[in-house]
Amino acid sequence: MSRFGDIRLDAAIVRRLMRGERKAQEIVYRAYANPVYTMARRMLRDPGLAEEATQDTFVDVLTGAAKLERVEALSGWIRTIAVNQCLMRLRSPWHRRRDDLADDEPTADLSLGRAIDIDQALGRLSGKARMVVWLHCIEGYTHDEIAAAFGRSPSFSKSQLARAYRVLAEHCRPVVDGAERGTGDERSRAACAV
Amino acid sequence: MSDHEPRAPSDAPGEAEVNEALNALPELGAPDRLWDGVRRRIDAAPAKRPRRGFAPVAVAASVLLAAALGVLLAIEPANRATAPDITALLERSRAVEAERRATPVVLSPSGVERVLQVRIGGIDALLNEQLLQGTDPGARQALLRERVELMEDLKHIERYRRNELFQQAVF
Repeated sequence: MSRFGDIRLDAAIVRRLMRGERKAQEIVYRAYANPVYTMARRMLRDPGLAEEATQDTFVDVLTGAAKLERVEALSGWIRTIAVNQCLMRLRSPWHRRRDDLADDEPTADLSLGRAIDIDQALGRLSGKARMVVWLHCIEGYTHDEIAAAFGRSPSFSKSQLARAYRVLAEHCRPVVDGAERGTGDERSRAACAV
Repeated sequence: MSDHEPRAPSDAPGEAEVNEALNALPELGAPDRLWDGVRRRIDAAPAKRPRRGFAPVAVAASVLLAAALGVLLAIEPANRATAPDITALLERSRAVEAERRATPVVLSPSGVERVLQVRIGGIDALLNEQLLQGTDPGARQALLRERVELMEDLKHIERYRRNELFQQAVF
């Protein structure tokens, strides 16, 4: 999976983006659209919300690129905007209410010992826990950085992560032959093949 | 932010397996129609100019203003009565601009901020004109006072919007 930090764009492209050139805007969009959409989709669990967050992220990026202080800060800046777009939606009353129905603890059908899709297991976490796990494991945020993003203490990040690991690790089982896989609308899903 | 590399496994039970599984998740493709939506929205959005373009103009105007005021105060004895006020206003103006420059720009200016910037620019033009024509120092002082007040308003609005943005990231 490509991460924000893995994407390298020519400095000239970024400077053209800062000048508002349409072609450069499209190049930047094409380079970052999938990582932004992937994060939004994994975190928000709703394709419509993920599309909305992705679109809002790029509208902010493309219309505000002239304010970018340094060319090399582009990736981090886009990621910050994308994370904020996801966090905004996760804290909306509608999403929080839906999230309340989910629980950080495993549910009955998840404790059967069968191979469980890690993505499905992620979906069983609360939005906050999912976000903490993603930022820490995929984007490499430190606990201090996660705490700052949530406006909480580092111990909040640590405790959320520890609980999430317990839940996810319980469902990371070797894939057995013929396990139910690939039923979602995503192109593919990775199982906990360890 | 830190290096933002994927986490190295720690000693937490299952962490290595979970990290490996999470990092093996495939990237999802953003639907093609999203770009069309983004393009339509940025085409519909009003052109945003970087505020940093405003700062040098404001600084240059302040410097010119200060220099011209200094000359006038030196050559017009009648103006000396208002010198402390004008000096204080100039100092306050410079302080507010320094505060704004020291604060990172995270948002493009809103409509209200643009209006304030335009009004400040207009006052600068009036002040320069008055200085060149050598008109009433009382009027200049009033303009200068209004300029400082507008700058303060602008600073507060920018600070409010910035705080609001940061709070959006907080549950």
